[in-house]
Amino acid sequence: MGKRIRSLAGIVAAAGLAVGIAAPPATATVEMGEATHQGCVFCHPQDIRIAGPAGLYYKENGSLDGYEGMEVPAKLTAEDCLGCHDESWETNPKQRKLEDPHADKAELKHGDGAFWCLRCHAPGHRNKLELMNGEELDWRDSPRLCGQCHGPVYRDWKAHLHGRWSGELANATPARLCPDCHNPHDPKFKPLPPEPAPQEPVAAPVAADLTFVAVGGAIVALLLTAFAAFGRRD
Amino acid sequence: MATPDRTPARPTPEPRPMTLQPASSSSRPVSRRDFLRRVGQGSAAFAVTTMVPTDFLQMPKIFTQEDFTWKHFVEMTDAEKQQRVQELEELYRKRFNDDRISIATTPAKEGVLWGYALNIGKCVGCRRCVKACVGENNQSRDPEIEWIRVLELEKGTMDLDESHHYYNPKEVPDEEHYYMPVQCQQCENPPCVKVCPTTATWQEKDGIVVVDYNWCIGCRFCLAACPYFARRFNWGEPTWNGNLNPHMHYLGNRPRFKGVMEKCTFCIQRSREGHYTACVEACPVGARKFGNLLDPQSEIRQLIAAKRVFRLKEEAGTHPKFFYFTD
Repeated sequence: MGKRIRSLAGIVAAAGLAVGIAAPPATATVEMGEATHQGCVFCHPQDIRIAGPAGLYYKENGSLDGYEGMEVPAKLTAEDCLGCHDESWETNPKQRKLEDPHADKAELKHGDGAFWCLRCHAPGHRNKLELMNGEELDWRDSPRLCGQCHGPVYRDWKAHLHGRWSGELANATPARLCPDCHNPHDPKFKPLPPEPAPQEPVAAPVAADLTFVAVGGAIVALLLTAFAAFGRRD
Repeated sequence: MATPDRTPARPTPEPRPMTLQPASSSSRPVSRRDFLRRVGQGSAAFAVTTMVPTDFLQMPKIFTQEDFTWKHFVEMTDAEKQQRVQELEELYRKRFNDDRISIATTPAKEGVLWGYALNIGKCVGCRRCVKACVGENNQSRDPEIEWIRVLELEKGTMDLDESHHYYNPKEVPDEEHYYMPVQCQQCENPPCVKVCPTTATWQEKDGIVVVDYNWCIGCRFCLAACPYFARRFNWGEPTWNGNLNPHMHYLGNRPRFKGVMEKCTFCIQRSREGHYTACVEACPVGARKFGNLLDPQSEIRQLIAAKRVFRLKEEAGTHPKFFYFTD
């Protein structure tokens, strides 16, 4: 059984300080297509950091506000939503304003208000996704879930016509799955800064032109003089 | 036909001695031929005394004397290619201080004709492809050479004369514009190949138009002939800031030198090994597609069948293998 987080606060904070520097920061929706493996972190960058194999759950600013009274599971990682949403928690399917730590998803910008969390997340097993027919899916099968509504895009994706495909042509692998580029809670692509523009060609200084004309003219004059002097003797 | 001789009668000149020695006799005035011969000898001596120490001995060498005697790449036997590549590898490893450098001469595969497609509906104009291409293909960093040029067009027009490629907003895509990257279209009827006076550029069997950098004389006819602004000239000595991709192909990304043309080769060092090109891998929105036009199952063929496809400047009769499409 887990212990009360309040009693662990000091240890957790110290451990966070110790491993926080070495831990990779959560790279989620900073730039489209740059997300790593899709797990909770992808959608929950503000809430979670992965820190070490055992996992550590704390907020971006290191505080534990909002987690008081929560059971800390023995092994909680960013890919383990069951750490909190286990069988002991009653599932509340009602659409409502979400409290911390899910406040960043208070407004679900997908489906024009027609969806709620459990349209995609399996109510019975929060580490899984769920199709409309009740079949539970692994995170890695998310394109099947998205394809339920986005049929033509799913068809194109399977034919490698949509999305990023990588590696060998004969055996291409998807460089990204749907949620890696399209944040499911806010699918619209965000603008991104462009790479620097090419250098504009610079006009040669006028002095260079004048030098060219002067030197060229001198050479031509010299040749003409030489031909005039030597050319008509025979 | 007898034409009347209108020149006034002159005394017949004395017959000259048939010798290559300059006429040193002081009794005769200097003839035009002797003058030109002396000028020629003098210039040659001047060139030898001034250019040899600066250009061939002191400057870092990128091409050797053998470069001028080697055959055209197409005419080389496999053994000759091997020998040539070994020499170049040694040279480059020494010069760039990188033992990983390897130069492939992988030939075109049978039954392969490369094609490319770009989704202008998806492209956001972020230039990730441009920079990936520069890194992969060892374009010069200064002076700057980029094979891909991303055109920014105002929505509502397809007039390329109205496009810009120096756009630099804080964020792309701009709401009032769309983007059309242009690079070598690997024409089936390439005008650049037709105009090359030295056959330094030609079309390979897999459709890629390549350049033998050692045969290019830098006349830039091809640059003028290309309707797509796809060829780049090394106006200056290229530099790489130490960022050299060591996996090279003889006809592709090996270091170029001042005075030669270069162009997109569909990443010949990658595609001939069966990999996607660098720009395809880099595109964050997946707008770039690449594949074998002769394989009915390839993504490029399925794409041409399923999408609205067009080619740039189709009326020029160049038959590009580079397709633009929208969903």
